[in-house]
Amino acid sequence: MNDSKTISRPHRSGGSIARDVIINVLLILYTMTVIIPLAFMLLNSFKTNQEFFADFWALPSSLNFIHYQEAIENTGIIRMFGNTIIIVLAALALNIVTSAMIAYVIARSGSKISDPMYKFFLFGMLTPGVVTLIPLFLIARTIHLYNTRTILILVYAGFEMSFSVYVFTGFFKTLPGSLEEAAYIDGASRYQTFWKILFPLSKPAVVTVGVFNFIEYWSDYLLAMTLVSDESKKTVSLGVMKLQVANAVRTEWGQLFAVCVLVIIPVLLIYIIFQRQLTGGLTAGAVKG
Amino acid sequence: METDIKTTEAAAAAAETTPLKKKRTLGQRQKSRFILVFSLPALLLYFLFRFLPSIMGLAISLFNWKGVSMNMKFVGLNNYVKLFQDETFYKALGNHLYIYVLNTVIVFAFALVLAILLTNSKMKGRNFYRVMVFFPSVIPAVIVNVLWMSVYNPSIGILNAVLGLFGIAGHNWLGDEALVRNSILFVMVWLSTGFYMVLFMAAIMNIPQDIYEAAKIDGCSVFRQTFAITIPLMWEQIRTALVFFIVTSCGVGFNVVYMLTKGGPNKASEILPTYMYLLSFGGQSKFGYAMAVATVIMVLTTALALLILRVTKRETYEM
Repeated sequence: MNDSKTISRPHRSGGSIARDVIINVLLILYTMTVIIPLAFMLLNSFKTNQEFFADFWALPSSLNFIHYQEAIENTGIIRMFGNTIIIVLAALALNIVTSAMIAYVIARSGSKISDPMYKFFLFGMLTPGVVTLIPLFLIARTIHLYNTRTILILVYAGFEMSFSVYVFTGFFKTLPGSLEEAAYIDGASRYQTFWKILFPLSKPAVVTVGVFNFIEYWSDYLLAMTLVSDESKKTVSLGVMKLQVANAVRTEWGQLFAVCVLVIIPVLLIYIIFQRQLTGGLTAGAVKG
Repeated sequence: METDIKTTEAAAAAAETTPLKKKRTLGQRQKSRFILVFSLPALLLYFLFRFLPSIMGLAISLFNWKGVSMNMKFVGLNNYVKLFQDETFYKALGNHLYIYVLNTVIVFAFALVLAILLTNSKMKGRNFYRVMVFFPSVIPAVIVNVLWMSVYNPSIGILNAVLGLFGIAGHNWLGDEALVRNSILFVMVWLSTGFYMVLFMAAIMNIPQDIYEAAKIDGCSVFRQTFAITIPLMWEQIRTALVFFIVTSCGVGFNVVYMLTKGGPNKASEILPTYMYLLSFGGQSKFGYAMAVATVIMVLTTALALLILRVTKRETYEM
């Protein structure tokens, strides 16, 4: 554990080959801390309980889907997937459309309120989200939306607004002003110009915002835990948490791992498909400010 | 007398411009309406669900509130008086500072070193390393905790098994008061390093290559190039990342501690956000008191972030 923590300086005396070897060994050790736990989870999700306790490290004797089958039948994970997908997609749509609209005003209207509005949104990036839990609980109850899917959609959309406005504003500022002029000459209204020309052009920003917020929303358990209590409205993260608590008593690692594998699949797909946006898209909008 | 003249002048000026203005008002009004329609939805969502809850805490901390009913009793600064005599608060504050200061230093050191290594075109397998180191940033928080449960678990744990291979005795990583803070810290570093590495890689790749070539001709070592060229030229990105990190790592720490140890054993890994949660939803139902803790968290993070922005301000180097 400590080995991978300390990255040693290049050895002067050892020459560059020895230095490369050391660097690679340390990097491999670091990557092992990512690969081994994931492999452990995947392998053991396919083992029967007997196989698991006989040897955690052995390969499963056969691909055994018993835990997956049991998880689907007993844990309500399918319903939770349904809830999560509806909530995440609705929140994404709401967040992207509203943040693109206001970012368009901030970046291109030339209005006096553009700058104050932009600064107002940046405040959200300077305050930690954890402190909002109790007030959000109070707000949700005041507007009678506590324990509904709607409140999660609204809170998710509002919560990531700063980041989205930041990315969209940066993007709209890079587009040439002649775009609108041409549209106005053709007789398009402001609304048409945005929906028909500017918004479709902002696809790269939509993808960056969409991918980052998808991961954020899919991973959330804290807001869901605070704002929703009904079993029928719970999201996948809350499902995993419940199994984790149960596991402390009954030690059903196989089933817990199986559910985790299911929950991680959408994120993994997004990571594979949008790897470039995730690790490269950061340069375009999120860094410079 | 003077003011009278001014007002009449202003009135006259206004009267003069009104006819002109009237012509423009149609376009102007349409534009204002457009701005309003396009700004309102985002402003409303953000104000109600992000801005208001961030500042409301300060108000709630002045009340005693059990959370069940809307029954709140105003107690002034009483919660703060109690807080500053609360031993658990000081313990949580100490752990909080220990974990977050080390976390910041280690993550930034790791991320910078990795970014420098992996932007070197001679490095083999750098794409593989980048993808693997970044991956923890996208794993859902609850799964991160299941993974690390299975690493740290004293009976089936991966870590003890690996140590066993080398004949080293295992530990109860999350159950030992002396070890638990470092076990938590390691997970936090593991979670954040990849994201900042990628940010820094992007910044480094923006630095023109010819600067390094010139430095090489002058006989500048790799080590000196790092401190004389790379870091100064990406200073702005490091600053921004640092502020962003301080704010977001607050939640990262909460996730890890809340799921892995709940602040135990014996408060040895309690940090401020988990203490806040324990005081409120965690069973004690002292919501007003919990919000006093939240206010301390706000002050610690936001004030620190702003302070860092100010202190680290340097001349930016134009490229």
